[in-house]
Amino acid sequence: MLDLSPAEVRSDVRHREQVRQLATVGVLLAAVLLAGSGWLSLRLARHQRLAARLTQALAQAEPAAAVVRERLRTAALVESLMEDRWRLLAALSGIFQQTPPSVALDAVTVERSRASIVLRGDADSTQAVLEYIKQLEGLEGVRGVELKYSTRRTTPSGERTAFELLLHQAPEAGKIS
Amino acid sequence: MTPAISLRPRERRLVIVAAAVTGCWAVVSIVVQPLWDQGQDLQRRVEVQSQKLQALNGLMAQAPSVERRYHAVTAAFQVMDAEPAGVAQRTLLDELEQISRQTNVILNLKPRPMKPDDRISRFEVELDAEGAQATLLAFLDALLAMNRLLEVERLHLATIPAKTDRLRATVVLHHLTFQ
Repeated sequence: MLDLSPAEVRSDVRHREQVRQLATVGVLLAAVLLAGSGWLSLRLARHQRLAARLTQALAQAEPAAAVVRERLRTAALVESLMEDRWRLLAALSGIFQQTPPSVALDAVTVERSRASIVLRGDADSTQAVLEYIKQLEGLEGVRGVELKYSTRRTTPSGERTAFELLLHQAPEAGKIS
Repeated sequence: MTPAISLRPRERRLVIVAAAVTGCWAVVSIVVQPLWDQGQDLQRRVEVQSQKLQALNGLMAQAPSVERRYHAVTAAFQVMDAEPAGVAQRTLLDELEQISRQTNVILNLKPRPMKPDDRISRFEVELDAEGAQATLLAFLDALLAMNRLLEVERLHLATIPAKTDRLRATVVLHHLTFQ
């Protein structure tokens, strides 16, 4: 289509068209920003309400939960003490049962904090001590047996082998709360 | 009076675009960004609180079984110290004396000062018991069967050089009570 308007009118029309386009873009941009801010504000308000409800629910549940937690800890502690007593009895009983007539124990020391048992005594021979070690290694709850020393001695009842053994208990065996 | 600065259409457009960009930046950094950050913080808080609440609900679901366990242990043991500390200690020492008399064992007691914790009190006693092998083992058996919260810290069982038929036991005990 041929535009026969004078140049000034054409320029004026083009200018107004540009201003309108610019205004439209500006309004759209402002609308986007406003809508975004509104959406964020709504999201924030929703989260705030949710956080407040959760805080209230936590505050209501906490006292009862604290009682349950305390009772759970108490029960676990008592059970662990019982377990420890049982392990001590089992260890002593196992040691006495596994001690052959060729071995005489002079001292048994149980250290809870070190999770260890020290056995001191004497045996007919070094071979008897080594066999005793093998039997002790088979005991439940014993992680390993260490020979601290073994010496031949002359006693009124003849030649004897004095020894000291260190029994390492399994980790759970020495553990208490 | 200063003359009005007349801009060319191209320059004017550039100024408008620059103003729009600056305006947008200002709105984003003053309004949108703080809102977004606050929203993220709140979302994290909500997530943490939800997890806490879930954990609490899990714990509360276990409450009946915990209650049963607790009542079972408190029924079997004197867990809570209803008596004053001094009375509870004397009662324990009396009970130990009684066991030693019943099992015919010579007993020496060395009570140590009580170590109070935030929720558990530990009363330490060192026992020195002497007797024939069978009676001493019976004493130890009775000791470990006591319905008190006892922790055997150290047990030393040894023969006595001069008395071949007798044994000596040194036991370091902790008597625990919940406060």
